[in-house]
Amino acid sequence: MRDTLRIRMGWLHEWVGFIGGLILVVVFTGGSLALFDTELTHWMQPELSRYQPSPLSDDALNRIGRLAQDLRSQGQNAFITLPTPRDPMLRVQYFNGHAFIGTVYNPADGFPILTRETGGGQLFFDLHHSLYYGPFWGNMLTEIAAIGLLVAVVSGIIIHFRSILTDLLLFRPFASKTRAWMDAHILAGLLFLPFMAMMAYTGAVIHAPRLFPMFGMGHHGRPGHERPAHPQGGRAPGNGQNAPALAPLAPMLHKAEAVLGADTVGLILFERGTVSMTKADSASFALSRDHVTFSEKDGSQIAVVQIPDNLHRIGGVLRGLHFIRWASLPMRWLYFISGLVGSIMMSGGLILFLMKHRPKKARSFLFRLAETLTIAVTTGLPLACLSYLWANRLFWSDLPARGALEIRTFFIVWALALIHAALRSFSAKPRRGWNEQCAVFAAFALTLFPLDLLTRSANGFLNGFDVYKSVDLTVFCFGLAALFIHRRLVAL
Amino acid sequence: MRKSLKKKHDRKLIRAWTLRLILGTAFVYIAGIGMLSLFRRMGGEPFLNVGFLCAFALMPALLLVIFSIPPRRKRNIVPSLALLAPCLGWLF
Amino acid sequence: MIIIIIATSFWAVALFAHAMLQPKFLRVQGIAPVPRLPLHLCRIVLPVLAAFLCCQLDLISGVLVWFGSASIAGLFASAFLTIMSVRAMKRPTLTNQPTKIA
Repeated sequence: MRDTLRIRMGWLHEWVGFIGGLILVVVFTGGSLALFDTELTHWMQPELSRYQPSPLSDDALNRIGRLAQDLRSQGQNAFITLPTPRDPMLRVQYFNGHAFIGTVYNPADGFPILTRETGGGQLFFDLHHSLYYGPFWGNMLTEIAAIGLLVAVVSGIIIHFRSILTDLLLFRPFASKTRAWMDAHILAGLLFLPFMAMMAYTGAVIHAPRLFPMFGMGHHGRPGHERPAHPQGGRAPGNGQNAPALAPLAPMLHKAEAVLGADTVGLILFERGTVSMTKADSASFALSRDHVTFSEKDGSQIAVVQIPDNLHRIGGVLRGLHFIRWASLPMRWLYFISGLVGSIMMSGGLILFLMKHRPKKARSFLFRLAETLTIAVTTGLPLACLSYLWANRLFWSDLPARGALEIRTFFIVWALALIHAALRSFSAKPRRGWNEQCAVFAAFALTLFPLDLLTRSANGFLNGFDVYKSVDLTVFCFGLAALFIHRRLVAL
Repeated sequence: MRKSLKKKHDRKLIRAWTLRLILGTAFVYIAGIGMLSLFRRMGGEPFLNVGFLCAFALMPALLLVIFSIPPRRKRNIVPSLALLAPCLGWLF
Repeated sequence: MIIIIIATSFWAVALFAHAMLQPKFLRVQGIAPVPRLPLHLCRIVLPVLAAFLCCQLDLISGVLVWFGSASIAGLFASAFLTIMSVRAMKRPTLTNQPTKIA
C-alpha cells in the first residue's frame, strides 16, 4: 500500500463511511419516514377514516380550550394543534419525552373521537434526530454522524474526481459483483449528492448546540425562549391546581390571524397566565414560530413576537429546508425518494466494506460483528418499521399503554433481527441472514394491504385515493422490491 | 518487497492514519470551539447562528486538509491541496 | 406537479445526451458514435429550460425542484442506459466460430 492522497482518502472514506454509515442508515430511513409522520399517524388511527374534513368552528375551539385548561390544572402541559390540510383534526396534546400524544377532537363540534393511543409517525422522527436515545447523547451521535457524512462525501469525491463527469450514469450490473455494487453506490451518491450534503449540513447546524453545549442557545433561531420543556410525563410543575378560568379562544385566534395572516396559526400554547397563538410550521418556508400572546383571563392581546432580524432567521431557514413542513406533497415525495436513495446508497457502502474485507477476514470476530450490524440496519430496521405498523393494527385498540407497547414491539423485532443476523453471520452461510430477513419483510409488506382492509371500517374504503391506500401501496412496492432482492439472492 | 515486510509497512501506515484521524478530530473540534468563541465575541449571541454555519463547514474541510497533508518523506503539499481545493469548492 | 414531471424529463434527456457523449458508454452499449452537436445542445439547453420552468415556482421551491428532478432523472436515464447495455450484451455478435445449422 502506497501513501498517496487517493489511498489515504480511500481509507478515510471506508472507515468513516462504515462507522458513520451504521448510524446514518438509521437516520436516513427514519428521516424519510418522518417526512410523512402525520400521514403515518393517520394510518395508525384507522378510526379517523370515517371522518370527513370539516372547518373549525368557534364553539369547538372554545370547548377544547376549556378541556385543555382542565388538563393543565391537573398538571399536564397540554397544548392544542389546529386542523391543517395534512391533519384536519383538532388535537389536545402533550410531550411524553419522545412524542406528542393526546386526544383527537372533531373540529366541527369539538366532541372527542375515540382513537387508539399511538406514537404514530413520530417514532421515526425521534429515531431520525436522536436514535430514540434522548435529546443529549442521541442528538450528539447523529451530529457526529452528520459530520462524518460530510467528510465521507468529500473524500468520496476526491477518490473519484477524475471520472465523476464521464462515469456519471455508469451502472454495470453484468460486471463482477463488487463492480456492480460500486457502480450503484457511486451512481446514487453522485446523483443525490446535493440532497445529502444539504441534509447533513442543515441537520448538523440545527442541533449544533448539542455538539457545543458551551454555546447552547436553547431554541436558537426561534423567537421567544420562554417555552419550558417538561419531557417526563408532560407535567407542568407549579402550574397550579387553581388555574384561572380561560377566556374564549376563538376571538383570540381571529385577532392572531389578523396579525399573522389567515390560516397561519397552527398551535395554541399556554404559559404562565398567557395564551400563545403560534404560527404553524407549514405556514412559511422559514420556520419561525412567530406568535401573538394573549391574557388567559380576559383574552386581551399582550404582545406580538416575531423574528427580529435576518440573523435570527437563519435557524428558521435551515429548519425549513430540513423539515420541509411548508412544502406541497410532490416536494415531500421528492425528499422521501431522495432520503430512501441515500439510505440505499449508504447500505451499499456498508456492503462494499464487507465485500472488500471478506476474503481476508471472513472468520474474524470483528468482521462477523460488522456483518451482523450491517444486516441489522439494512434489513432488520425496515422489518422493525413494518412490525410497528402491524402491531398498531393487531393490538386491540383499548389496550392500556398500547402506544408504548407498539414502540416496544418495534425494538423487540429489531433486536430479534439483530440476533438472527448474529446467528447467520457467525455460521457458515452469512448470506442467508439477508435473504431470510428480505423474505420475511416481503411477506409482511405484501400482506399489509389485506390487514388494513380487515382492521379498518370499510365505509370510507371506496372514497378515492386516501392516506390509507397510499401507505398500503407504498409498503406493497417495498414488499415487491424485497421479494425481487430475495429472488436474486436465492439465484446467486 | 517481501510479504511480511509489506504487511508490516501497511500496518504502520494504518496506525499513522488512525492517529491522524483521532488527533485531527480533536483538533477540528477545538478549531470549531475557537471559531464559535470568535463569533460570539464579534457579534454576540445572534451571531452564533452564523458561527455554527461556518463551524460546520470548517470542521469537515479542516479534517480533510489534515488528512491530505503528505507524510514527512515526501512533502509535495501543493498538488495534494490543489486536488482538495476544487473538491471542497465544488461541494460548498 | 406538472413542472416537476417536465423538469425531470428535460433532465433525463440531457443526462442521456451527456452519457452518449462519453466514449466509455458507447463502448459499453456497443453502438457507433452518434452526431455530437445535437447531443451537446441537449446537454446544455435542456437543464437551462428546466431551470426556467422551475423559476415559475417560488425561488426556494424552484431550486429544490431543479436539483431534485436532476437526481430522479439521473436514476431514470441510468436505468434506461442499463437496459440498453444489457440488451447489447445479449445481442448475438459475429464470431469466426462455425455455427451449427439445424
